[in-house]
Amino acid sequence: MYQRTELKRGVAILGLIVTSASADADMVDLPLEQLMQLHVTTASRYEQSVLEAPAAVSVVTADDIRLFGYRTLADVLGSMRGLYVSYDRTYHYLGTRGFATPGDYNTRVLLLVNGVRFNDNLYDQASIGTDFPIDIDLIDRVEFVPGPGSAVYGASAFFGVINVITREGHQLAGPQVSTEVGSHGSSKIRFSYGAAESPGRDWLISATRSNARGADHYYPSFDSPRTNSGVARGLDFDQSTQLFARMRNEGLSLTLTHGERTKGVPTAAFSQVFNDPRSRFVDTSTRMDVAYTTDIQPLLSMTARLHAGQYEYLGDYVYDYPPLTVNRDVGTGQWWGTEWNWVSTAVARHKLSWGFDYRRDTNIRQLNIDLAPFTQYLDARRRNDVIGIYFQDEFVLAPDLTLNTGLRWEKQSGSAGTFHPRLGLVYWLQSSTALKLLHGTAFRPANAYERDYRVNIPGGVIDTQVIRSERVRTSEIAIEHSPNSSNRFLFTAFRSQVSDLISLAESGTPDRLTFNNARKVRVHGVEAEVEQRGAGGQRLRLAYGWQKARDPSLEGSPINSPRHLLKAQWSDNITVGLPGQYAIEAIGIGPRSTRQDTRLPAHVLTHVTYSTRIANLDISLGVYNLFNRRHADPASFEIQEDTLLQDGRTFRLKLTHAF
Amino acid sequence: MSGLLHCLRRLVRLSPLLLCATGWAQTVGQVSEQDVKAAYVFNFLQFIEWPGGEATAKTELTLCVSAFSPLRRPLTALEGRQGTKARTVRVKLLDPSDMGTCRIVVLDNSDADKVSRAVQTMPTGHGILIIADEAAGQSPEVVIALSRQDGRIVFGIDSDAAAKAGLLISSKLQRLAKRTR
Repeated sequence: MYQRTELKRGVAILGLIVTSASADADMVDLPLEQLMQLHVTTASRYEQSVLEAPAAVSVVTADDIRLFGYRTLADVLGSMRGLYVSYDRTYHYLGTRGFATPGDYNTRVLLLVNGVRFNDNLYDQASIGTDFPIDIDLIDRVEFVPGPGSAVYGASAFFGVINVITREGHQLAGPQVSTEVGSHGSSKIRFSYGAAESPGRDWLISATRSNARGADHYYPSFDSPRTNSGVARGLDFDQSTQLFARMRNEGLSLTLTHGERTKGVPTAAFSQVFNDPRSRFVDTSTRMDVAYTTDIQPLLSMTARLHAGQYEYLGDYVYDYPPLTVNRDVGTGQWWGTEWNWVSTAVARHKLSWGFDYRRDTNIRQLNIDLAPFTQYLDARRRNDVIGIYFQDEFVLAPDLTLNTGLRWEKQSGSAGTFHPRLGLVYWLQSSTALKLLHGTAFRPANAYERDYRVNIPGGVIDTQVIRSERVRTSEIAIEHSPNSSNRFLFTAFRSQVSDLISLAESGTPDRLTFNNARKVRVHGVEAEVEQRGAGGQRLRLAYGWQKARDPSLEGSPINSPRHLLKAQWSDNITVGLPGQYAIEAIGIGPRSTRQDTRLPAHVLTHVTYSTRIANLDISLGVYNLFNRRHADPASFEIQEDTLLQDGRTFRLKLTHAF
Repeated sequence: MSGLLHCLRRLVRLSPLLLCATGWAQTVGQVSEQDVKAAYVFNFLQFIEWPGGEATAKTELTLCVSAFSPLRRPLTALEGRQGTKARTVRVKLLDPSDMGTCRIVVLDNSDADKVSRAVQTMPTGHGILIIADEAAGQSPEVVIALSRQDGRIVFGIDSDAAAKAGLLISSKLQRLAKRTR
């Protein structure tokens, strides 16, 4: 019925500036392929533009992952404003805005994959290192929403929400094989197959195997002839298998993930015998989810989801009681859950969304035994129910002013139900500039590990009284300016108050630890970020964060809490020689205090990646820590060393072929 | 509070200068789909004559936009801009039950039915230019329908709806639409 025509480039480029009657003369074709506006889905559980979302969201795309040669989700997160990653040679730990408690297995960030919770149900751990079960090449983008998200997502969304959005079958279209080799005997191979049968109907399967021999590390506190002069030989190995399948058919999607990772433990963590090759941690997880989204009325959409999963941790710890004995720690968790969400625009000026989430932890078991002679120290079992009901309103008060409110009630077995609100006022000073006033609270009840894990062996947890839920309250003011998708400018200031923090501490007994609610932490800070993209493919991004954490219960500075965080990225095309792209990234972390109140100096690591394409072959060469800077991370209570030296310069060569 | 807002506005106006001060001014002006569509809306105004008398005599041209239209944000930038015949554009939120002052309505799906019903009760020559985005362009009251086709923004004109509304659409714009109904 309508005949359509194409208005042209002039109108678009001159955009709102054009007012003259000669507009038609300027009209030339404008392809929109490049005109992608950045949308995020994590802030409100539905799609919003970055300027609309009641949060100062960070996004890293598949293109960034390729360009900067990120190897793990930890690399991706470490590049984001306000985040920093520490590593103890077993797990990667995410610090958020100057906050990283020793012994925290990322329990205070909620990790979602396509909107589904990925923290396990035992430790509430968000795996972000090689134990993350999805190959990084299958990630389309990663969104990070800083600040408390309990009003939307419930517990775990304490300091922020990470949402990993995976690629779809149509984005691969055909078979693909990728291989890589790198320093310390690391190698990886991936096979993937993606197919698009029709628009809205596609599928993707993928399998990855990776292996790293790892370097031999020297630990000064074990430097004695009886303990191999402090060198842990062949114990930094890392082997993993990842399987992924996803199918979409119109509003229906089905996702399956499976990951297994075995990591050697070179640090003799938890008071083990040093340099014993049997010391290792194995993480295995399998998850599935089915989701269906439909418009049940013109102005009412619904998403229903059913998900299930299981997680197993197996740790072999070597102790010399005497005799020399392997102690095995096994933690398993199974769960299923359902989520129902409705979004309606039927009421004028209001976008209402509401829903409920239910999760049944069908089995959580923690077992601790000596293998030979057999002795059992712990066999704790628990079942758990989590139910949450939430309501959100995006109320458009004026063309340039929107009020976002949200409230969620959640109850977990063994703790009282609690309400958590959030408020977000978004005011557009101009069409490209948003001023955001944000306030929210969050909570986290003790997880099964914190509640039940009591073993009176070296490094074990004893003497814990009833642990209350920890709480956080955050206020933030953010200003974002984004005149187009190539330029973004952001400034934000925040203040958080954490109370009843659940933390691992040294107990009165030597070699034994305990949990308590003793700490209160206050953090405030500012962050600024500038991103620009040039016509010739150049890209610049600078992010700086200053934050100050105070803990009145501690003498000196909080552990692993840098005042300064700097991220600088530059990339451009190379047109001479072998054409391609190069990318330089500098990640700076300010001075940090350790457990023994040593001051670790600030460091800046520089990574360089070159990538090119020859026929159907993508080649990427990365050099990490280019200047071979010597740097260390603070260690947690379970490790004898106060600081752990990190990798020097490493390399990776990656080849990806699409058939 | 107004002092603070004033300061923020100044800061924002300065921010492009600050960005340029980084010494890298060769940024490309990639524009979002919504910005392009909003630019179209503004450019349409100069090709359209509203029914004589009351409407043209007014010094203001009120643009009413659906609360959840993706175009709401870029359209807020038109507030206070000079349209044709020195009329100032005023942007407000669309209330389908009170469209009396609206000369232009930009609607999305959530308001399409309500606006259709309201317009059907109005006399011929009501003088409201109804512009729809995407699927909202199906109803017969829509004069101009914007959409994205093959990676480009396209628009269609419904002459019947224009005639019913008493709007005169310049032949120039009609030519750009190649063929109109």
